[in-house]
Amino acid sequence: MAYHSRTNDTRGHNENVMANKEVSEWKDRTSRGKEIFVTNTVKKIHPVVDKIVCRLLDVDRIQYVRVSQADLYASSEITIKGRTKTPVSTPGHKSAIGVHLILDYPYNTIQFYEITSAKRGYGGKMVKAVLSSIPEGWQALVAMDYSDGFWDRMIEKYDNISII
Amino acid sequence: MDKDEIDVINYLDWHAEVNDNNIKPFSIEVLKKAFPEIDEFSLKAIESEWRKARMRMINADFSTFEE
Repeated sequence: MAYHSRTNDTRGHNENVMANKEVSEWKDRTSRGKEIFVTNTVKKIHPVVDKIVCRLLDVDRIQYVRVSQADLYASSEITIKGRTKTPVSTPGHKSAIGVHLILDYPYNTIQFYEITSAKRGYGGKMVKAVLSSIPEGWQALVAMDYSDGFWDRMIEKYDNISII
Repeated sequence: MDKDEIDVINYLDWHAEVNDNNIKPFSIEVLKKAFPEIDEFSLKAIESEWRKARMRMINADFSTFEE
């Protein structure tokens, strides 16, 4: 019994090491001098997340990305709380350019939870980066649109975004 | 965020009422009925975070977002 449990522990440990290695290799391949934080709970990078992160990092001001099991943050700035570094996406922030997406894999949807753009034009660039990364059958959602026309214009430009 | 939290956020988004740019208070009893598996303390914390985030989006200035 003790032997089996030790064997299983070792296998679990090895799987974790492999998963960590895979995520770490992905970070090295993708970051291009920018910073990507991935929470320990993420063992594999979803292809849609991979594409969104690559495109968001193409936006020149975006310096930091954080990927957790159900969220993706990207921003020009970070806040540090304890050991957690979170890219800033608080709407109305004076200097940050950032976005917080909720990834809802079972429903193939990505929700724009928060977005901010202290510099003209970057809101549209981030939306373009996300929407051009979503495969067929996936859609982006915006809840409670009070943007006074911004999301309406995005809906006209892209066919894979809806407002709920 | 975990799966439970996203489910609660989706539920709140679908059921929230907004009047004059204010989100109408949401009954915790209704949330408890919808998510009996989640404790009241967690539900209140998720609702509070969701409300803050949504209010920030409601009050956000989108005029500079495009070229």
